[in-house]
Amino acid sequence: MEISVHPCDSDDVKQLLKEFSRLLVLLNQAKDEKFITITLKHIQFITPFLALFLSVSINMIKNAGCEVHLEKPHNPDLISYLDTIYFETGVSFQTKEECVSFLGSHSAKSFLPILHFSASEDSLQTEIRDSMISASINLLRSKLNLNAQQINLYRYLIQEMVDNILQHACVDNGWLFAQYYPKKQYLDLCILDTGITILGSFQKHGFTHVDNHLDAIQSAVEGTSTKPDTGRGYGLSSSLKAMLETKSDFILISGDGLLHNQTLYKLPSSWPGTIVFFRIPLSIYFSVYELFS
Amino acid sequence: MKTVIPLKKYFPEEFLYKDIGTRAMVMHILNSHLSAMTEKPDEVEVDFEEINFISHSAAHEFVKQKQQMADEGISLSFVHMNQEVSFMIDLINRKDLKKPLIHIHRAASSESFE
Repeated sequence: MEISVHPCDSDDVKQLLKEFSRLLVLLNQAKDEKFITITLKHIQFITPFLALFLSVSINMIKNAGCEVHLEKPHNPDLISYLDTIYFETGVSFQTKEECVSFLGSHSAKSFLPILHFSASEDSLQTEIRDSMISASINLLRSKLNLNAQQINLYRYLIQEMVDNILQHACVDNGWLFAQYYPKKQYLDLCILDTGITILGSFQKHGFTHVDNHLDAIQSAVEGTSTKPDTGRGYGLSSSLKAMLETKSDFILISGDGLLHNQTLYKLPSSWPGTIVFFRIPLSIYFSVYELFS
Repeated sequence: MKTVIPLKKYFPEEFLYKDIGTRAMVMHILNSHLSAMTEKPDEVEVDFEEINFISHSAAHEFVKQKQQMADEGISLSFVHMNQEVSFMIDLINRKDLKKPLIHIHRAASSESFE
């Protein structure tokens, strides 16, 4: 079986989603194969959203016992880019010093490499992960020359989405990847897990009336929390509100549900986990305070 | 007995931005500090000096722990908070806070991303 990644207009989020949907169907079929080829030779460029999705999918297919041959792009710049972002493997850290030193060495880059972080709540992994988040914020701030309000919005989004993985996904690891485009003046940020999905989290906590992925996504963005304490359930709803107010793009995929801004779609195939993607114009002027006003 | 938890010591010194982003980090800091003590304190002061920002989730966890520790007779207080940190902590205590109301519509089954 050969899966070819098609070129698409990366500025058009709907085209990006169409290509994602097509690849998702094919990659899910590939899990039953013994050998597949994934070819990148037709593309000149790859977005963080597709790069992260493909990286993790290749990992999952390999773990399912399928041998994957990756046919490299023709474009040498893209080959070099894929190497630098740690396409397929991502980069993970054993100590927080290693994390700080590595991310510090990326201060001249327009991207964070694909970060593969532990979702464990043990002390060591917690310190490494929170250092990774802080180092990422430092990197974005220095590269993008952001004002305080902008940086607060980015850190809010990253922190809440990473915390969602820890609190709800029941998974060992999460993934994070960001890239900014100086000419296009936007930042792409993608956070992904291969956990139990939003629906799985609702069902695990006894919300039996939520019985499909679309209902689960809708309930989550409307602020329903699976945990009993008051004051929870703000992460997704406030993040979506921020994206709508700033005319950014927000994509939330969980199982076969896909939310693009305020529209929910049913996918033809299912992602075994949750993906959150933000495309944020660099010119926004938005305060986190406004989220709660 | 009073004990002070300087949050900044959990981050590399060179970080311009020191953030408490996750509930796990809040629990790690409180647990590791308190478990290292030989005597149970009756007053715990969390020092936010050099902490630039905390997430809503982390703020919620701090306030939740404050309530739980109060039940055990321990006073948990927060000092040296900047404007952003203070805003998040205050937010958790607000009773009138409502979640954003967002209208979601469902695409027709034939509607794709085009």
